[in-house]
Amino acid sequence: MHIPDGYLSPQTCVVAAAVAAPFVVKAYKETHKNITRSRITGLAALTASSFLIQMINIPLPGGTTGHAVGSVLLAITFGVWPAVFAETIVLLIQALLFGDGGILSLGANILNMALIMPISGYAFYRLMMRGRPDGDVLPVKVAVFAGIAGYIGLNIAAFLAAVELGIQPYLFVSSDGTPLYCPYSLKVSIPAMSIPHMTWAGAAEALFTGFTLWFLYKNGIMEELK
Amino acid sequence: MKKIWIIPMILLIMVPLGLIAEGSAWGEWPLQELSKMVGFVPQGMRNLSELWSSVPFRDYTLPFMKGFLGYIIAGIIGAGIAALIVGLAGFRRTERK
Repeated sequence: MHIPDGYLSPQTCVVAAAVAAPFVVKAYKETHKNITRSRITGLAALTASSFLIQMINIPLPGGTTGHAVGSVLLAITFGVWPAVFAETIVLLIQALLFGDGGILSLGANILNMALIMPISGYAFYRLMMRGRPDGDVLPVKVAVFAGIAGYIGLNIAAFLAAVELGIQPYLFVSSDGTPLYCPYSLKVSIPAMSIPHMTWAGAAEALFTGFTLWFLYKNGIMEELK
Repeated sequence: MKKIWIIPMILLIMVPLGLIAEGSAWGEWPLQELSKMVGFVPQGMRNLSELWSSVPFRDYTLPFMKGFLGYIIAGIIGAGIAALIVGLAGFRRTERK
């Protein structure tokens, strides 16, 4: 889901970056202002975890690969703003040091995986909790809800990436009609992205999110993070 | 709170599993791979794909160490820097406390 440079037109990248930028600034300010000492340690540990889970590529049918992201876990554990900030840092390092995702397309990747994914996943988690605080629900149930939320968040992000890629051949073609950037249209990009994310990558995200949250409750870490 | 670090530690051990999957993720093919698939290199893509060519550890490989050990060390470098930056973001706040 890390869109490299060249697959999106500069115009698409500028729009995505312009949408994402104010949220990233806000996320940094909120994290810097409000986070406590114990929570910042925990946030650092799960940020490292988010980086690492993305290195565990899963073979997918059709010869491609996919992986979990971990930003919904960050949002459920620490709130949306710290999650947006932390995942942005992960994506920045992946792009700069490891060539995973482009520089010009960084805004789009932040929009997909560091903004829409944690926010949508968190929203679904809250819906499933029906207004109850986390402590009032059995840890196992919280873990299952979190797993479902991770699955939904990942799939919304994958769909968004597919749309960003798939609109390119409609909007940007050279004078002889060949696509200038991503050559695959929505008809190809949406199933190609969504089917693997609805199955294997989604399952990985659900397991990672649910199991980690269950671990945090079982070991009293969630209490310390309050 | 120290116990929370068990999670990235377990993941670090699992990281080499990521090397089993072959091929690229959909929409992340290198230029040559894509041109083989569609029969041409999209013009705009040719201009943009080399925008950031001085990536030090492309595809999470180290210049001095190959194989799964290099992949793990790349993970330590990346996850470590990410955790450090996030930790620093809360630094002033924790000082004041």
